[in-house]
Amino acid sequence: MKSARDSIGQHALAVKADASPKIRRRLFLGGGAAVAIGLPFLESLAPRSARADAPVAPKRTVFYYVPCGINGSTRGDFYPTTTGPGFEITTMLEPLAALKPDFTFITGLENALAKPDGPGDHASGTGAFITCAHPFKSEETIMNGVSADQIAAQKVGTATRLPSMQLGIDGGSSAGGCDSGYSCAYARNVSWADAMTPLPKLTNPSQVFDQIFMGFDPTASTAELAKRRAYQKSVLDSALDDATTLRGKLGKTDGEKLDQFLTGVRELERQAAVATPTAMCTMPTTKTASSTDFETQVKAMSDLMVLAMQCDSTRIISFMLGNAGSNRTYNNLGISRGHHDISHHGMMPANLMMLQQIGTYEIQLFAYFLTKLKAVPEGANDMLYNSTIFFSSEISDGDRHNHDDMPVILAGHGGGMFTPGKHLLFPTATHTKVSNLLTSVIATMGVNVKVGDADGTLAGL
Amino acid sequence: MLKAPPPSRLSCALALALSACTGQVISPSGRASGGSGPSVGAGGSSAPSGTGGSSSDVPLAGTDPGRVTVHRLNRAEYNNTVRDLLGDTSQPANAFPPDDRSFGFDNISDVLTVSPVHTQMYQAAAATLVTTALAGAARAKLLTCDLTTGETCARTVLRAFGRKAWRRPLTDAEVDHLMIPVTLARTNGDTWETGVGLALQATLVSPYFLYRVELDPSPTSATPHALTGWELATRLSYFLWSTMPDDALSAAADAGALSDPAKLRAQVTRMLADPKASALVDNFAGQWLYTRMVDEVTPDPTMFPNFDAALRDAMKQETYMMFRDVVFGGLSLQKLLLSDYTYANDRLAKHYGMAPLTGSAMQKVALGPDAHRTGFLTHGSFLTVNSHPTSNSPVLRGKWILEQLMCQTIAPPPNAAAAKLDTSTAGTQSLRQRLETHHMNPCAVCHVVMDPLGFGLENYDPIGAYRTMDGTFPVDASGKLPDGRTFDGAAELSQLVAKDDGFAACATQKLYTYALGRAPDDSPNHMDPALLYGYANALRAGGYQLPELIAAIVTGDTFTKRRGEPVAAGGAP
Repeated sequence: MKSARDSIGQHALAVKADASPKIRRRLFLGGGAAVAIGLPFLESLAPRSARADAPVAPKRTVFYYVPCGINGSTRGDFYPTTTGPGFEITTMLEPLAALKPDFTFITGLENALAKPDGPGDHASGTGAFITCAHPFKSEETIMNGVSADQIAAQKVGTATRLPSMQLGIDGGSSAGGCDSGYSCAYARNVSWADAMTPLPKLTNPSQVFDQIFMGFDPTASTAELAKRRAYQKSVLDSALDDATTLRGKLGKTDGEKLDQFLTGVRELERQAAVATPTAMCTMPTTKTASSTDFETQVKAMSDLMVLAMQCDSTRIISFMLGNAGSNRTYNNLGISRGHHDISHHGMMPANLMMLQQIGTYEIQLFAYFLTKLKAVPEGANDMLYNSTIFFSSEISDGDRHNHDDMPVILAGHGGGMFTPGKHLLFPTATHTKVSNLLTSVIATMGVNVKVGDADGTLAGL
Repeated sequence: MLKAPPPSRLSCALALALSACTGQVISPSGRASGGSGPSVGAGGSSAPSGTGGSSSDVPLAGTDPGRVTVHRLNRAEYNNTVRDLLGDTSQPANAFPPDDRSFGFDNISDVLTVSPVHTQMYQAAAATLVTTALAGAARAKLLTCDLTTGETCARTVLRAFGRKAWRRPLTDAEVDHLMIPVTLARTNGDTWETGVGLALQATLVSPYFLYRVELDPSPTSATPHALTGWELATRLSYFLWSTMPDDALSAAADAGALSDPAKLRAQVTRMLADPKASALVDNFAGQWLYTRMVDEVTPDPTMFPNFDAALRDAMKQETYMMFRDVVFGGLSLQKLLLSDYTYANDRLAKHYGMAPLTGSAMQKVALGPDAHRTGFLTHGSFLTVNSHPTSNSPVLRGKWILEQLMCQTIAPPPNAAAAKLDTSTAGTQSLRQRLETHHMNPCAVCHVVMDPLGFGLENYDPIGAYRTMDGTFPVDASGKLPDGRTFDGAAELSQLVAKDDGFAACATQKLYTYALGRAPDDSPNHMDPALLYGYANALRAGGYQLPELIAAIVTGDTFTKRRGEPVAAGGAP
């Protein structure tokens, strides 16, 4: 160990200086052949009586996006009519029935700034999904707010190797406009690091896998790993120097582009210096493969989200089941027309019935994810208990394109901060903000920052 | 400046009809304008494309060449660049996040952003690329001296590689800087080669590789200046080839030859004869004509069980091969819409109901009157991507023609149930008849223009097969434009579109956007409006030859010059 460090000279010092206690433990563990990695919560080893002293499980937040709004044959097929803990599970919520104590259905919230300038509700509603800011209508000047997940990631994200992750199903169409004069950047990304920087999502499960287990190599010796890190750092340092020199020669707009690059490289250097997973997780022996089957892909991504949080690779995730105004055909449901086309339902029963099918299916996929979270024990509770999952769409009604009366499900207990299992109804006339809810969501992670146009938190959660 | 041609009847008719339809117009600069003024569409009120122009509308010549935001290599550019730099054909960028698109293209530098996921993938790709290169055929080309002899050889290798990778000569200080990782490896007792490998990775993770960098002598000065030869070579190479300059172009840049318009033009001619110019087919035509989207459509599998991968591929190939003829074979853009031949294989010929062909290889086929095919608007690729999975969409097809071939902007339908087609008459009326109800309600303002264009293509079903019946109804492929002119069928429709002045103006605008990676700018004193007007006129006068248009753009002032960005003049709100 010592000789290896000495031999890599200055850069080894840098590695050492960056090393947290976690890294040293990680290095100590390194070299073992086990695929179970990191420092577990040791649920299985902890005597029941010791649970009270067990480490406090981290809080997580997930932002789950579904496209094209949600409609049922009738309003009552989706939206409960009764409120409070005794609310009825509606037809479309049936897949979530077993999880009723773990989610709150919220009716009537508004994302007012998502309203576009003229046409473009899908792109604008997606850009504003969790920024609750007003996306600037343009195909060249990208201006949005910082999204709730990134506000949290920037405050507490360094607790994990990856401050946040962005996952999705659709990369994006390969030609054409995205929505009525809005750049595709708004239509494909819900996570925004700053006003000008959308964070693209990974749509290939094997890439997500790589992200979760990046740098983890049970076959490499401690010295080998340290050298690898030092070499990688020298490569990145070189790029960083080039970018810094170049930055000084550029004007405003070009300089802002280079800032994105500088931020990316610095983040990479930080990640490289952080230990691999600290919570109990098992690295699957085979990498998750990409599938062309939608449901298989969604489930693989859901499993990976759970794995990423189990491994404590990240605690903050956004997930897009589709892109803005997705026109996916659900042939597996017997629906060969495109989702977006159908969502302009014109109140026609045939369209509404198909939308009910699609919406129910989306709820079913969401339920799959929540069930997986709940299946992970953490101390006296489970991962769903310690998480908060915000589920919504870019619009409410597919035909009206409205940004009030949003369909919202808030799942998880926020580690005990929330008391789910109820239906909260906010009359639309009160203009109660989605952003207030999101502010409450990130507060579960100890981040007390207002999201977008928020003027407070949401009471009664 | 050529004298403006008389305004075409079609574009006038469309402009007049659409002025009420578009409501809000997105100007080429991407800034929403109020939709006032008589003309509409991408040209906006200043009509840089010359759409519907008359001599009084000739734009004033400006003096501002504008600036192009520093351009991150997009996925296609990255793939091609590492192919030419390292002989690596693994297309590593396919794993990178998709590039966000604006103005219909994925090479718009303003929206080519970078996130930590990007930098992580750049780093991983660089490591793999270098390892592969040093272990394979590229090794001998990279390591031109014996690395075991030490530092001098390492510097030689890095300087030569850097010249190609960064598309300009490196300074001594830059070579010194690249030696830092080499020294680190040596200090660790590793070989010179290991160290040089790290430095090669550093070269590929550098912003000088990942971005096309153009510097202003004074970054805040609005005074125009010529690009350096290396910057211009880079612009040219990524425009025509979507890749780095080759040795000949680099040598011309080194020699300062590209500031001579004749020599610059000679490079264009040379490069357009190179197979690498097929990048214009894949990346420009693939996006302009939506050919790439053929891979993404999902026609109803029960209605169209024959729509399979082979048919998809043949449809794409047909359009790509025709556009290859536009780039390489002298086919005019007009003839692309009016050609008397196409490319097909056994599968596509059968699908089209043409005389049988043998073999899966695409072959050139003459189109007789019985073929029912007359150029691009009868290509399966175009017809399929502009259909619904279960039905034709004259609306989508008409809208596509207006947007992609006429550069008109169509407002989306109002979000009201009233906008919906009445399905109660589905059994008793043809789709066309039902669509015609559009013309009798608030939808009419847009649909009286869109739908007739689409009606002209009703002889082609949702996957582009020829038909004479729409279910139980005989096909009516006649159309009537708001100005009273009529046409019947795809051939007459194609004539109308191809010969409209708006088509030349629109093709010019699309190619210009792709060439510069930015949209035309109609700001006061900007060079774009007058240049585009002139390019479109020249395109019409010169027989619609794409290579001529390319040469005009490349030798024009907005391609060869740029300026800095005055501090006060931010484009953001």
